[in-house]
Amino acid sequence: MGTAKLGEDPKAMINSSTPPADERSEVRRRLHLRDISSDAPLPVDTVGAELRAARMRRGEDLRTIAAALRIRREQLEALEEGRHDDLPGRAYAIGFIRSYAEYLGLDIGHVVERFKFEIDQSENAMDAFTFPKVTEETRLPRGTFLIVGLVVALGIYGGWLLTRSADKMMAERVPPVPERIEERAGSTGAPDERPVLSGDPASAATRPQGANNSSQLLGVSAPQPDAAVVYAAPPAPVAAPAAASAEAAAVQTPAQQMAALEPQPGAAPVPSQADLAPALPPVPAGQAFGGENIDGRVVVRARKNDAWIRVEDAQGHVLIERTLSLGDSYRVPAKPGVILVARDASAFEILVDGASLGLAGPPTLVLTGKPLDAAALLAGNPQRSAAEAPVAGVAQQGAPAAR
Amino acid sequence: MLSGLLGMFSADMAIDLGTANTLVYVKGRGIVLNEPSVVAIIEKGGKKQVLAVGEEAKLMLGRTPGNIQAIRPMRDGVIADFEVAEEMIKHFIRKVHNRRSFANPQIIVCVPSGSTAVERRAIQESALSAGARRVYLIEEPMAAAIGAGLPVTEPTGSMVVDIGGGTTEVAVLSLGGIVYARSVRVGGDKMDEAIIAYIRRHHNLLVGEASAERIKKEVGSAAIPSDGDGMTIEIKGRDLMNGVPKEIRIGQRQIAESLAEPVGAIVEAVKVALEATPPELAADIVDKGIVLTGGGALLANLDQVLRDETGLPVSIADDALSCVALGTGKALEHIKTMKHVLSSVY
Repeated sequence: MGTAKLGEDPKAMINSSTPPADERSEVRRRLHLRDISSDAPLPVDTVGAELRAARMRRGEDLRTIAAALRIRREQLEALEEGRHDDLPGRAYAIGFIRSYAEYLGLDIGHVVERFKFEIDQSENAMDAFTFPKVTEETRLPRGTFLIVGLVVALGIYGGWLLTRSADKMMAERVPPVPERIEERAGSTGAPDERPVLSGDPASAATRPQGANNSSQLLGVSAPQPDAAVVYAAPPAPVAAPAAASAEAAAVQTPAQQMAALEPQPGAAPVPSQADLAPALPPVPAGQAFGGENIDGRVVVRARKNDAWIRVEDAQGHVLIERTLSLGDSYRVPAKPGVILVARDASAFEILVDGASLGLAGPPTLVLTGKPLDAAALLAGNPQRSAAEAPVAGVAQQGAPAAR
Repeated sequence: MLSGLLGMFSADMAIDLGTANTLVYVKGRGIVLNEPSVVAIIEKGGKKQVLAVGEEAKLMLGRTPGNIQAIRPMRDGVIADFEVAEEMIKHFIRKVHNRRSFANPQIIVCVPSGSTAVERRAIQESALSAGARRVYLIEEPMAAAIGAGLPVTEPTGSMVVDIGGGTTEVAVLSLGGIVYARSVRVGGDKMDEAIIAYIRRHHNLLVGEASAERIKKEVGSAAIPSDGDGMTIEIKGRDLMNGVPKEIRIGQRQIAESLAEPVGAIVEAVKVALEATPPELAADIVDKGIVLTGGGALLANLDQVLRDETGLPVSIADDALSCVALGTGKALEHIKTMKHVLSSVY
């Protein structure tokens, strides 16, 4: 496009359009000459020359034509001299030529066609159409894309973290064993001192089988089925030699721990049911479920609110599955192989014939298939040693099954 | 992406829906249609049907029997008769669009800068129901300036006066946008009306619109000739005194007198626009002047009158009649870069 400096002094305009310094004096001389005589040497065959010739024939000078056409004199000069760079642009230059040719009475169409040919030869980049704002538009979607991508990536990472840490969180709930207990557990363990639970070993020997079966019915890979049984028996004072037993003991009440760590030879290791009953504070009587099981001896009572429970029979049929409130109870039918599944073992108290056997287990224990057989419950837990597996381990394995 | 795919199969077009003429530009082919915006409707048993569109219908204008109506659906640059306009657009699109291609075309239609939202919506609706896939609107002065080859994208002011059939658009453009635009409903039609009124008043002769247009084109002038009556022309019409057809001879001077009012309105619009132009752009316009486009620009001596009234260089654009269509076509060819010049009511 033109230099857009046409309003300035004509000398300065010409200087800016002809950079070579040695030509400048020549241009100046020409300008000077034109001011006087207006017949500077020019190429003859151009439109400009033709216009100038026509003007000379009519005997008019640029000043009067500029006044009539309102076109600046410098621009008329540029037209005559073919200096297309000094004209404001192709469209305007053509318009000027048209006006000038009309004024001089020339053939407008012919002159304009010739001028177009000239101007198109001298500058061919005229029809380039450039808007100034193209670059900005492409940037916006790219930024949005980046932000969306980032959010999606973060979401995926967060989800992955959550699934990974879900298992760990269960395990971390088990507090570490206090050093004091660990030491004591290591020093006091004597295999002979293992308390013998009341009840005949024969019936106890049959238990693991049943427990195993019921667990398999649940589709669980039987993660220590006996572990679920351990707390069904009253939490007897235990003086286990292994550190594992100490871990189990850590979750018992301090009084029980003391009893476990300081076994008294004379005292009976099996506490009576009357000893345990007062240990649990009384709860208000809630809703009673399983009323149809009149002959059932075992009752499971919720000791916490929002305690989720599921009871299945040996065939895997769900007898009850719901969330119990504090004090709610469920009477278990007198059928063999009935098992209890609960997320939090400590939320349930087990009663046989109305007498409490204590909590179903410590708070961290997940019950995956605890048998609810009155005789077995009363007989205590014959698989004590197997049940002493670390609670943490039980919890970890039990968690997926409970879900 | 789908739009791009469809674009390969459809002949996208730009339409200059003018009051007097409709021009259609097809992408890659240039202006392929230039016909008068006239539709002839025939009434058959209470049912209206399109009889002719364009050139053929224009011949019927003012010469129709009772059951045929020759209608100009555009008045003052906007749609006056919605249904007829739709029929006309449909006809032109069908005439131009390749029947074999299954995709509907993308269409750019130009609208007067002073048109209301309702009028724009009407034009867009018409084009959509005529079978367009997508309709964009472009302001007429912008299209005219692009078509005239003005440097509209540069940071320099350009002033364009587009005198169409129904409206005259005066606009100052810079950096690809309209700085100031003014649309006055004065154009070729108003000039014809002025000629009809003048002849009736001074010669008691009633002439039709078509005759008035012919007079305007042949001897019409914006400035009164300095010597005598100038060119003269034979005018045929109906004598109002005794009701018989009559022929008189009228001179350029009288026609110029009759056109003084519409020309004055155009000059006034240009002056108002110049007053409202920011000073920097006004400085640019002093150098480069005003460019006239549209059929009205071809009125003899109009540039001279504007030159005298404004004191600015006034030039007539190359191919003034098709500037708007060419500009709309250019916008269609570079639709990606020109997107912000285009608008859409929806």
